[in-house]
This record gives sequence, structure tokens and C-alpha cells, in this order.
Amino acid sequence: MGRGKWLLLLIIFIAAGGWFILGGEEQGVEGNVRFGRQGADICLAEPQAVSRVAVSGEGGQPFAVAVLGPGVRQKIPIFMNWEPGRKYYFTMTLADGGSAVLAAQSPDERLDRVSLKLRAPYGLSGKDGGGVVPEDSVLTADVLVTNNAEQPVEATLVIAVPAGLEVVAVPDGLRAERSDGTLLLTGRRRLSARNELWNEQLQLRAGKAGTNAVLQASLVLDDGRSHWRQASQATIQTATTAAIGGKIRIAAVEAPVDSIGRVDPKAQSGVLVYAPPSLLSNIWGAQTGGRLDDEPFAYARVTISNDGDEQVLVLVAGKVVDPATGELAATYRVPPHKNDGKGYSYDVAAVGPRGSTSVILPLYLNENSLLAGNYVFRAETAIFGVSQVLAGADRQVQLVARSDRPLLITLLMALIALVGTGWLMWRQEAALARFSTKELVIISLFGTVTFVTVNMPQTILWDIAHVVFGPFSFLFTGFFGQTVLYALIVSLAAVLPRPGAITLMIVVRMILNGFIFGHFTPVQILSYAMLAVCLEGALYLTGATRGPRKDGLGRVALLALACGLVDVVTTYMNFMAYMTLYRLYYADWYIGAVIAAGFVYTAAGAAIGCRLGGTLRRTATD
Amino acid sequence: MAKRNVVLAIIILLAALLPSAGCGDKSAVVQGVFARDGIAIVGATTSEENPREVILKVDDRPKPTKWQKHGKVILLMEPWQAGSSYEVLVDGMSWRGMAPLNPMPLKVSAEELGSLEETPSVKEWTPAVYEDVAVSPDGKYVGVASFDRNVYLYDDKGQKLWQSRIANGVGVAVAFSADGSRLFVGESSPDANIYAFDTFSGKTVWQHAFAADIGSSSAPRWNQRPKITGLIAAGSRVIASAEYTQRVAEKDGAGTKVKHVTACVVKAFDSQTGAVIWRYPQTGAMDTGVSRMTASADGGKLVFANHSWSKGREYVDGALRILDGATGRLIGLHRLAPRHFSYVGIFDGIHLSPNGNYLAVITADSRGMLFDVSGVTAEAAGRGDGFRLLWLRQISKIHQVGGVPVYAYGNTARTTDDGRVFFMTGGTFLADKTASTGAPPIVHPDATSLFAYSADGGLLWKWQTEGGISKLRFSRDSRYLILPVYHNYVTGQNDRAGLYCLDLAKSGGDPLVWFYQFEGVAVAAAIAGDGTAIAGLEVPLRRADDRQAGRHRLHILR
Amino acid sequence: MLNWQEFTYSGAEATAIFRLDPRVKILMLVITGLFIIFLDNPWLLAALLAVGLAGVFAARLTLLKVKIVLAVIAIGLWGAVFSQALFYEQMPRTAVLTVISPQTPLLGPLTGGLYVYQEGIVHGLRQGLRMAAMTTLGLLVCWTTDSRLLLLGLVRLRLPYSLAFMAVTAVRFIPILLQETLQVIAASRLRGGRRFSMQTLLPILGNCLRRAGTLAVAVESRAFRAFGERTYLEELRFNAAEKLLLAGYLLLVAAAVVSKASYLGYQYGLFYHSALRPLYEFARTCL
Repeated sequence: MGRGKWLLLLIIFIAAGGWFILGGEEQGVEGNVRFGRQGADICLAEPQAVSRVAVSGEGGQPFAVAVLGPGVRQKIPIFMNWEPGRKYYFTMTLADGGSAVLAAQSPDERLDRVSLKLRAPYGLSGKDGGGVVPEDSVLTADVLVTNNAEQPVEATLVIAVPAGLEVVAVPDGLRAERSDGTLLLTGRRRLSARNELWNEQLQLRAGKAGTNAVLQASLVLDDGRSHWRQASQATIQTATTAAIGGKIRIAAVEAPVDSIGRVDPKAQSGVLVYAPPSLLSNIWGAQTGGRLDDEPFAYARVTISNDGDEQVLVLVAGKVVDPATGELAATYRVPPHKNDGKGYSYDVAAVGPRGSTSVILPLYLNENSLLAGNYVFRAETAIFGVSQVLAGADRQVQLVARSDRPLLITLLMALIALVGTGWLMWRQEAALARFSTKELVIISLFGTVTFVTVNMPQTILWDIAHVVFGPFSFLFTGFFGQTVLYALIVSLAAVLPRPGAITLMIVVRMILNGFIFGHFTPVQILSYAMLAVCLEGALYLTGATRGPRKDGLGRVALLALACGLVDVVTTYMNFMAYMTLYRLYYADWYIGAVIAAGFVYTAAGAAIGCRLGGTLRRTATD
Repeated sequence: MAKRNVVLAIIILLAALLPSAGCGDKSAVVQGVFARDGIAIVGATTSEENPREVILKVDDRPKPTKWQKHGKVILLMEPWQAGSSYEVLVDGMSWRGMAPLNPMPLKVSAEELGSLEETPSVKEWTPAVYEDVAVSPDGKYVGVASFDRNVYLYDDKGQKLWQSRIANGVGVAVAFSADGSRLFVGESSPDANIYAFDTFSGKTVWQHAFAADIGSSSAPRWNQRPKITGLIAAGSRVIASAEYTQRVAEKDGAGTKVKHVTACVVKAFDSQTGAVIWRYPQTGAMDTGVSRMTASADGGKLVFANHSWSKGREYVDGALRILDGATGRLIGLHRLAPRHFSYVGIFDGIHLSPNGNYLAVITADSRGMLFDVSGVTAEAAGRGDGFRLLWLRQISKIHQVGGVPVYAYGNTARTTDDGRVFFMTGGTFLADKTASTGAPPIVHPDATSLFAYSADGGLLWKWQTEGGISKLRFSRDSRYLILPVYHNYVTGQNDRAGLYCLDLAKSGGDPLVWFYQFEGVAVAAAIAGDGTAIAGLEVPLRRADDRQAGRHRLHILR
Repeated sequence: MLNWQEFTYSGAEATAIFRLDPRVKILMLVITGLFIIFLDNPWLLAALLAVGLAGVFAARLTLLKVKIVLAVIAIGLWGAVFSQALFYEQMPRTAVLTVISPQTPLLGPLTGGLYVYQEGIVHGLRQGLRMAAMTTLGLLVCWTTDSRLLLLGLVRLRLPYSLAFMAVTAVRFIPILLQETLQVIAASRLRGGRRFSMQTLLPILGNCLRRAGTLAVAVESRAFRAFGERTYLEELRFNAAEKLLLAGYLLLVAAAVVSKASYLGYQYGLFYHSALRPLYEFARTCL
């Protein structure tokens, strides 16, 4: 090996060793630190498995240690007392033994020993603490004084209410007096404990539109050693209801939704479905618990839009009213122990400037006042703490009761299949004796043709179509599944117009399907049994199996309709059986589409079958 | 040629890095923890044998010290001083650290429990998972009634001793007997059983079904079935309350009227045999539920409050009842009337001091009060109310905002033998939180706050946290409080979820001793009577993007 | 030329499955069909599918048949996944793809929006196992049993002989009719017609009608339906192992069905007993 290569090797080993010794312990963990009232929050750029954080000062003196549970996290709160303008080092020990250090400088200014916040209307968190309210409305202003220090402090609060705002009620803790045309509300309180607070709410009436009133609060504080003042203000702008209502509006109302606002595609919009205790449970006297009266049975979603430039807090109320009287409908009345006994649901939401937000309101059902029918869900919105309703929207809702449909239909199918099979087994000899050997052979061969021209292509094509089109493959396989099938069925009925011929053909087809494709499932047996019963009934009623008849246009149409209806019923029942026994889900609109397409295919097939059968009858009598 | 050299260099570099990556096992780091009762050294020993030599140096000066081995942890029984420098050498392995201001929790173990059928969502205001944990009075065992339908027993080193499945039910309450020999578990199931397990073997010694008293149901959700609502071990007895609210359809003339009927009973059992000692009420059932039960240290008095949304007829919402612990006889009754809302709503907000003299109560509308109940005795029963109200405070003000009440509900109450009282408020409600599903965009200034009051009702201090609070647990002497906190449904964050340990005896400064952050959320916690062992249950949280944070774990700390 | 034999029973009797009494196979298939309705545990469903596949391999079927089974399973699973991913209706559910947005003209309002749900995919896989297991077992039975024996088995299981005769006739004529159908289609195309139209059926059915008379005479000349009782060339007899297998399987399934039925009875509030709680737990978690 040349000298150059040895040198290269040496450099590589030094580099690797240096990385291991110097850089292997500490890892590049990125993040920043934010200081707050209770300490500091470490905000990492990526989630990390941190097991411990030790906080030290510049001299290495320890300030706090936090031990964390296993797992990854991106934000770590550190509870500690910090000094303003100091540098702190946050040493994080990672779960794999590595470590990382973040250095941060605390803010230069200490947090206020006593903080004063004035918000009007209530709850807004903007810089000024003020907002826009409708003219002549009653609003709630909130004053919050918090002692952030250990030492007790005497606080004297003065709230100056300017002209343009009227005090509706003076709070118990304050005294009112006038000075130079301004109403002053004064109060005094001793805040002895750390984090003790003094909180007052004022009910004020706003003036006329276009006025700006500045509500001011000042605080004089005395801790026995020093004396200082603090002040805060909130500008309350007044506008017309129409102007504000134009900016804050109800963008959408949707019901029913789930508890987190998702729309259920299977549920019809505007239809609220009530699930009474199961009919079967009622019959057998079963106790399954049932829904309690303080649990919602459905939800509604109300979306509020804010086209203004300021964030607003809105109160959204949802009332279900009787469309005739406009009064709260007893059926939907919220239980009296909820929502302060108001009888309707409400919620508060913050809507950012030029944004929208949704609230989910629960709907309750009073079983003792239950009345199915049409109602109106009325959504109303107002600025939180302000009396005036800004916007409203009505939505028609209908209350229906849901039943155990799939289960009941499946049970019905099973019953019919059992009865039919039982009867066939019991009367098998007599039933078969009615057919001559030739007729049995004809039926058998028709069954074979059906299998070859319907089952086989449908199985192969359905599989291929299913891969591409999924559940929508029925649009393509319907030609074989329904048109050809019913053409053959009706033509057999024309050749052998006797009750039982169709049933025997279906049995042969079922056996072939089982023998060749292994389809021996209970659902398929149920399905064939239903088809046999319904077809025999329909063909008998239309006269198709009551002896040879002439095929006029009317008769063809009647047969097409009858077969179409049979297909509708059997397809629907098949869906119910699959949903019950195989726990599958299908949307109502999908079931409807399959049934509709099936009806068309079947009716066409039946019509063709009439013509085919007529031709074959002549062959058979040759 | 040059290209070949570069390739060779890269291959050699990779080859050099590979062994270097494995070198120096970074996970075997010796760590020291300044715990409450000394300095714990973790990672210095991996074997079960004792180390040969343990040396302590304080500010570089050797100091003799006693030490114990606790599993793989070496605990130096050294009262450390904040700001001093400590070095510990264990068989030559060294650790050095500077003592902080407050002690740290010593992580003993974090064991994974079974998978859960549902988990809380950050968008919802409840933790959704309802399970319980208890620590034996001597701190040696930890019992869990888990939402995964199992009962677990662990030792204080984090070793699972046994596990038992609750068939077709879920455990919702757990408690140890006073001597620690029995682990009691209450379930939610069609039977509403209380089980008594032998702590050491895990065998079911006895069980009792409340279904005969309150009814039975096969409702799918655990909170719709009959269930044990409270379990308390008092002396040689264990007292359990069970409740069931069912929908009843009655014929009303031509039609049918639907009612929701509550049935609740309280029973006392012999801890060892399971024999029923007494039943309250003696016949029938209360038509309202009961709050958590609280008893004096000697078990002589048992106190609870009736609660119901629908007032109740005989057992009215807001009635405070004191029973004789030995006989179950009612010896004191005091009725609180609703004020701000149509109900009183006492759930966890009731506590009797260990000496049985003081009763602290906080209602749903945050009215906090202290009663002197020393006059309520079995002998004095029937001679008047016996409850003497010492003081009443509106702990958290209810803001009436345009007809909507905004408040922080009264959650928990605790009182000591000298009459000091601690109240904890819950999250922000707009009337009734269950009546709306979204998180309010505003936080009440007194939400999730702990208030300390003197015996004469003066506020001593207030401490506030974020996030929802689960069941608080206190050490026997009420000095330490362990607070499990779950996610903050207003901000949609769970960074402050975990266990908080507060020292309530601290006269000045922040009462918070330490915070142990969970990856998920904390739903229950327990502390040994002497404050040594602490257990917390973590469950995973579904975030806004439907991904999960955290795991179902049992954390054991010291 | 279509080799029908490739798709049906191939006559090899080398393995035990082939030698099993057809009644045992039919009964076990029917019992499994009923059993599978009660199962919800995806692992059990997968186990049944695995048993079917194991049977397919143990029977040493041809590669083509194995491929057919695998293709049928894959397509069946895909079909279930596809439909359930779109129509899943339980909560929670997470939409991972929007197929039709609610804003799409016509289809949007009609469907309310069509999405692919993550939980639906999982549900479809689970439920697809049910159908896949049954199909595999059904094909296994068909491909390891002579149709003659299968029918004999059905007759011994009280299927009327005349029906059995019809089924045999049908099976025997499948390749003939298949061939005729292809010939008619080919002839139609040669004359410029469509590949398949309803007119194709006429000559096929006409042939069948003509054939029926001849076949009827042929069988009646061999005393078909002349007597009430019929004799058979082969007799089916259960051996001890088959009896044990059938009895054991029946007991096992009966126990599982009773457990699940008890649990369902408890769930629907029909019957509950404390002593049965371990049974309910077993049914809930394992079945």
C-alpha cells in the first residue's frame, strides 16, 4: 500500500475517533425555550425521547430538574422560578443515554407582581381587550386582578365608565359614584395569597351606533412597603346590528352529525333517527339498559363565519321548535338540569378574523313527549355576553324511528326458507311425481344452460369487474345476472307452465353452483330459497304457470313488471342478509342504485324471455 | 486510481464508524436522583448482588452514609441540601451532581398494561377511560383495576405478581384493606360485584353481587351498567357503594311513561370473610346516587352525600349523611339546597378529617364549606342536626355572561385534623359541560386550581394547572397530594399531562414538588399512606390527526 | 378446446381428503357455513381459511386449481375491502381518500360524498375472510369429490333421487352445453353477428328440448322411477375415523355456537346468569 493510502487511512481514523470522543455524546436536538408565569416550556423541533431535564444557571447552579416518563414528546414544561435577564441552560438527557443542551435568556422584564386585565366584551383576548358590539345591546365586561407574588397587597380598583356606556347593574363588590360626568365604580380588596384573584363582571348597555367608548380600569396597589399603579382599558365600538350581522353570519347548519361534527353519508341530511329499544327486546321483555335521558341522541353542526378583521367570541344557540307555534318543541327539550334549565343547547366559540368555526350542539329526546314528524332547527348567534341576536338560520329536520330492519328481514328470509324447504322435503315425492321424466330433463337442461350462460360468465366477469369497479360492477354484470337469467326463467315458464318448474330449476342451479364453484353458504341458500318462493308466487299470480297462454303486449308488460318486482325484493333481502350475517355495510343510495338497475335489467330479460319462450314452445310441441 | 482510493476511504470510514457506534454503551449511564428520602443511584449495578463499596462525597469531602438496595437502585439515606455538590462512587462507577431545590421522583418502573378498547380524544373533555389504582398502606404493593378488564398486582419494584381477568365486566374501583392482605376491586357489569383478592396469591377470597339490590343490565357501555361507585377500607371493614340508573317504561293510563330510576345502596363487609355487616338503607334502595365516601381513621363515622340530576324523592340531592361506621345507622343528616343551578352536585367534593371532627364539602357550583361535625355521634343521634357550619366561601365565582353561567366546577375537598381545607376546582364549564361537546374557547381564571384555606376560612394560597384533572389522592397525613392530569381540551394540548406532586405543608413558595410528564395522559394515581410509593396510570391519547400519543402504562415512582 | 376436467374433480385418490366419505365433506361444509356466521374473531376466520388452504395443498391439487383458489380468495378479499372501504359506517372512521366530493354535481348530493375509510379497509379484510374461507372449503370439497359420489352423498342425506338425477344430468351436460354455446357464438360471429346476443340462446335451448325427449326415453327404458326404491352400485359407509371426525367437529361447532348464542342472548337482554360470565367473556373475545 502506498504512502498516500496510509495517510488517508490515518486521517479517516482520527476523524472517526474525534467524532466519537467529542461529538458522540451530545446530539443535535433543535428547539427553543419560552418563559412564562409558571416556568419555561422547552419546544423541540422534532419529538424526542427525553428522560430528564436539568436546568442550571451560568455558574452551573441548579435551578430545577424534571424527570419525565418514557416516550417521545415535543413540548416539555419546566416548573421553576426564573430571574429576568438571566441565561439558563436546559440539559436534556435522552433515553438512549445521549444528551443535548439548549441555552435561553429569560425576558428582561419580570412579570407583573399584580396583573390587571380588562376585557369587554367578556372573553376576548385581543391587545386592547375591546371589541365591537351592536348598538343598544347589553354586554358583559370582565375585570380580573391577580396577585402573582407571595406578599399580600391592598388593591383599590377604579373603573371609569364613560358617557356612551350605561351601567345596568353595579356589582356587589363595587360602589358607584359620579365625577365630572363619568361614572366611577370603586372597590377595595386585600389579596393575601399568591395567585389569589379579584374578578368582577359588569353589565353595561352600549350606546348608539358609531360611538367609541373607552372603558378604563386603574389599580392602586400597596404592599406596605411600596405603592404603585396599573391601568388597563378597553375600547368598545358600537355598530348597527345589521353591520355586525353582515360580518358574522351562520354559514351552514347540518344535522345529524356525530359528536365531533362528522356527517354520516348513510344518514339522510335533516333526518334525525331515533332508535327505540329493540322490538325483539320488547317482545321478550328484555332489559338492555336503553338510552338515558341526559345523553344526546343526535348532534347538529353550526358553522359561523367572521368576515371582520377582529376575532370574536360568539354564543351559538340551537333550538328545535315546532314549526306551527315557533315554541321549543317538547320532544327535543334539553333536560332541566342542563344548560341552566334553558331547554335548548348552546355553546361558545372563538371565530378568528376572516375565518370560520363550527360548534357541535347536542340534541336530546324526551321519550315521554315523543312525536315523530317535521320540526325546525333554529340556530342563533350572538356575540358572547351581548344580548342581541346577530344572525339566525333555520333548518328543517324530521324525526323518524329506526327499526331492526336488516335483522328482521334476515329472520323472515330464514323463516321462509325453512318453511319452503321443509314443505319441499315433506311433499317431495308428490311434487316430483307431477313432472314426467322428459319434463325433469328439460328443467335440468334449462338449469344447465342457466349455469353456463349466467353463473359462469357472471362469476368470471364479476370478479374482473369487481377488481376495477368494485361495488359498482353491478352495472356491467347485470346483463348476465338479471337479463339472461330472467329470459331463461320466463322461457322455461312458457315451455312448462306449471308451478314448481321454476323452483326445480333454481334447485338444480343451486346444486351446480355448489358443485362447481363451492358456493354452499347459508346466505346463498337463503337467497335461492327466497328467489324460488317469490318467483313462483309472482308467476302464478300473473298466470304464467297456470297453463299455456297467448303472449300479448299487456301480458309481456305484466310479466316484466312482476319479474322486476321480484328482483327488487330479492335483491333488497340479499343485502339485508349480507349486512346481518356477514356484518357488511352498504349505503342506502348504493342499495337503491343496484335495485333500480336490477329492475331495468330484469324487466328487459323477462320481456325477451316471453318471446323466446313462445318460440321454444313451438319447438317443444313439435 | 484516485477513484479507487476514494472508494476505499469511504469503505474504511464506514467500517471505522460501525464499531465506534457500538462502542461506549450509552444506555448504561449512572444517574443520580435527589429523591425525597435520600439520593438514589440508578444504573450502577445490574446484578442482584449488593455492591462491594459505596462512597459518598459532599462538596468533595467524604461522608459516611447508610444505604439500601432496592432492586437495581441504591438508595443513600442522606438528607441532601439544595446547592451542595454530591459525588457517589459505586464499585468505582462515579456519579456527580448538584442538589436542586426540590426532590425529584425516582422512576421505579413503567410497565405496559393491556390494550384498551377505547382511548380518550384530545377533542373531548373527558378521559373516556375509567380505571383505578391503589397503593398498599405500607407502600409495598400496587393494585390496578384496569379498563382492559384485568386486575393487576405489582410490587413496589415494578414486578408483576399476578393478574386476574374480570370476565364480562370492567374494574372501576380498587382499594387495599387496612392491613394490606386483601385487594378489593369493584366492577361495572350486570352483577356489580365487589371482589376480594388475597394480595399475595391473587385468589378470589370472596365476592358479592349488588345486582339483587339495584338491578341488572346487559347494556354495552360500562357507564350504563350497574357498578360499584365507591370503595373504602376502614379498619376491619370494607365499605362499598353501588348504583344503577335504568330506563323504565310504565303504563300510564292509555299510554306509556318513561322514567329513569336510580337505585343505590351502601354495604359494609368484613374484609376477611365478606360477611355483610350492615346495609344502608336497611331495606330498598336510595333513589339517588352517592358521592365518594369518606371515613374517619378509626372507621367510626362514614360520610357521603346524595347526588342526582333529578333531585330524588326520599334521598334528596345535596343531603349530607353521616353513618355510624359500626352499624350503618344514620346518625347525622344535613341538607344543602341548590343555589346557582337546579342541583347541588357533590361527587368527589366531600371529605372527613381523620379525627372525624371536620367535614369539608364543595358543591358543583363551587361553594366550599367547612362543618364541625364533632357533635355528630352515635350517642347524640336524633338530637338535632349536629352539623355546625364554620364557614362558607364561593371558591370560584360564577360569571353570568349574557345569561350563560361560566364557572369552574367544584371538584375535590380535603380537610385535616386541625381544620385546614384544600379545595380543587375542575375545568371550565358553561352551565353543564355534558350539554355541549366542543371545548369552550375561554378558561375561567379559577379553573383547575388548588385552594388552601386556614381553619377560619382565610385563603392561604392558590395553585393552578392546565388540563383536566382526574381523581386526586392524598397521603395519609394530608401532606402530599398526587394529582393526575389529562389533556387540555381547550388548547388541544397534552404537554402538561402527567403526575403532579404537591407538598401541602409548604408555608411559602410554590407547593409543587415535582411534575412527571406522561407521553399520553394520566387518568388515575395513588400514593402510599406514608408517601413513599406513588403509582400513576397512563393511557394513550388520540390527537387531532387521529394518531396516538402514549401507551397504556403503570408508572411506579418513589 | 376447453378442457372441462381441468376445472372439476380430477379423479386422483392419493390423499385422505379424496377418500373421505362425501357425506362427511358435505356435512362439514354445511356446518362450517352455519358456524362461520357466528364468528367475529378475525383470527378464527383466518384460521378457517388457512385450514381450507392447507386442505388444498394436502389434496395435491393441480397447480391450475391452486392458482384458481388463490385468485378467487384475492378477488373476494379485494371485493370486500373495496366495498367496505367505501361504505363503512361505524365510528370512529378516518377518511383517507375522497372519491366523490359532496360538491360534485349530481353525484355529490346523491351520495353525500364518497370516501375511502381506513377502518373500512380493515373491516373489509376481516369480513372478506369469511367469504374467502367458505369459497376455499367449497372448492376443496368439489375438487376432491366425484360428482357421482357427491350426489350419492346428497341422496343419502335425504335429497330426492329425481332431483339427484337432474343434478347429475346437469353436471354431465355442462361441458356439452359449454361447447355448444361456444360453437353458436362462433357461428354467429362468422355470419357477422355479435359475440353474444339473446338469439344465441335459441338454438341452444332448442337443442336441449330435442335432447330431453331422447334422454327421457333412454332413462325410462332403464326403469328410472319405475320403483319406489333404487339400488346403487356403490354403498357409502362411514368408517370409525370419519364418524369420530364428524362427531368431534359437530360437538366443537355446537359448543362454539351455543357459547356465541348465549352471549348474543345476554347482549340482547334475553337471558343472563352470573355463572355464565366466563362463557360470555370467551364468546366475546375468542369468537
